[in-house]
Amino acid sequence: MNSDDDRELVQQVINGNIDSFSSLVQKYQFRLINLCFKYTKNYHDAEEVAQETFIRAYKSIHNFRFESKFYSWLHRIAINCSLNYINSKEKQKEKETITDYSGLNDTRVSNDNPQDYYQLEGLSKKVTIEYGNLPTELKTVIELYDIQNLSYDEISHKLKIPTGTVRSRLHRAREILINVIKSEVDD
Amino acid sequence: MSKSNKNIKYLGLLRAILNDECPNKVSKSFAEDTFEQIEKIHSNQSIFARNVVNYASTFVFAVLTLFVLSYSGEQIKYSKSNIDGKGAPITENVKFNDSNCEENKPHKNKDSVCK
Repeated sequence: MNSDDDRELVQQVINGNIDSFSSLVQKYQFRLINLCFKYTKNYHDAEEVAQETFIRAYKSIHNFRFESKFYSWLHRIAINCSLNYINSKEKQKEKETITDYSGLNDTRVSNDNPQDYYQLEGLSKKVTIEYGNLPTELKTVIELYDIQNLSYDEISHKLKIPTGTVRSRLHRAREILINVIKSEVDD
Repeated sequence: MSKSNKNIKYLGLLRAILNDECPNKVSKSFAEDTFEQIEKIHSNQSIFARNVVNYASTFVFAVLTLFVLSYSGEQIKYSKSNIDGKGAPITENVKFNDSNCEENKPHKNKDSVCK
């Protein structure tokens, strides 16, 4: 199966294959947590909101109409969940103000163990450097496909190269960059 | 985690980095915890669906049974009743005219009757 093809994964989930949803979670967890963090300003809460987003998406996946990209749909759900989170936080703050405990609750101590987290800041820098060092033909393909979201045919037309060449260049470029990730994110 | 899922995770991380949408840190167990929650929901939904199927099949069976019974009931030919419609003879008030009966004899002395 092509790992880029969300439609196939979504269709499998709709058909009752729950494991395909696991692939979608693996694929979009980073982008979604980052999106939620913009609203929550706190990684712990961002993960909670992202989890809520995935659960909501799973529950309503039958409503996905395949008219938009799966990530766009997930993105909208994440924004709704984040706004709900902000509203509930505001209500909680109001209650705290009424009960005069507002000054005490902010002294929350984080018990997070750094070992339990992927520290991605350094990795991001390494990958960005490696991306900058890629040969131009590989860099162009990965930029058009993974950043600008063009299809193989569109890239083929734009660069005037066969679709097969687009695929092989993309594969080579990704392989180089994913090797950097593998060396850092070791499971 | 399966190899294909790992590759999907690496690809997701790569795309997040390339699009400048990568968080500084992510819990290692995030995906597993999330999927665990989803599995729970899935199993609950399965139990609910199974119950719905059970009730639906019971209902269908009941309706079919009723239909079969009512249909076969029409086919039964009952024998006609052998009770004729005459019934019991109609009773009438009758006058008893037995002259030997003491009660029917005229009283000679009303007083004696009263005694």
